[in-house]
Amino acid sequence: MARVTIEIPPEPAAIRIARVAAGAAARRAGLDSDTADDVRLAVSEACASTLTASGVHGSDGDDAITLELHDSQGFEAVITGRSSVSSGAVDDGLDELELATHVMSALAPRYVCEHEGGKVRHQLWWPVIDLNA
Amino acid sequence: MELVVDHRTEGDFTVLDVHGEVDVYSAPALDGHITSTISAGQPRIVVNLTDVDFLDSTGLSALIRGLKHAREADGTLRVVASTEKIIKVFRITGLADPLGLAATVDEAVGA
Repeated sequence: MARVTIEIPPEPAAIRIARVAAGAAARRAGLDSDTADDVRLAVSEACASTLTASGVHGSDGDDAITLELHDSQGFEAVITGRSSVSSGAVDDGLDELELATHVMSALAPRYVCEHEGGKVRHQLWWPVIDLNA
Repeated sequence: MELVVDHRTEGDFTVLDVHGEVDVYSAPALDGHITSTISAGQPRIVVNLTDVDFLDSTGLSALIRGLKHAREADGTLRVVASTEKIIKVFRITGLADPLGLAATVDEAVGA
């Protein structure tokens, strides 16, 4: 599968588009339906927590949330967006961020979250078992 | 699919039958239904998620807020779910017991 990149506006309604795409890509990569459900949920959590961390709601090209999907070595989903959490600008919703992090950590065998330069990057990875190998 | 919430009564509980997906977009609507039910003097609530296709941590947070609000009004809030992918979210977050997760509305009302 070629690398798929989707850019969505920082709006709650747009996150559904991201998780549908992620689920479809996961199935295309060979993940079973249960794991594809995990991918959908984890990607949705990453996008929603990025939206919450940005403190931004509304269309703005600079604040878009980017979803990258590829299956070159396992199935990977990378979600990036603006973050103001480190600056302390977001006081509400931090319990929700912790809950989202807990869910992503439980669903993805590998989950890394990084904050740098006003951006947050969520990296989620699942193994893909090649039954033909 | 937009969130649809139907209200009905079972014993002294108000049952909120939820249909659709509960996420960052629709969780505020669920919040609203729970709050309005409590404000109407009906703080004993069962939230029925058997017809819900998707639930994430924003949905869980709405349910936790609802539970706190119901308790403040001397009531309670319990949740019903029967789909494994929905039950899984409660299980991995440890919120199944605090939210009284049950498999059927009858079980939740009778608990």
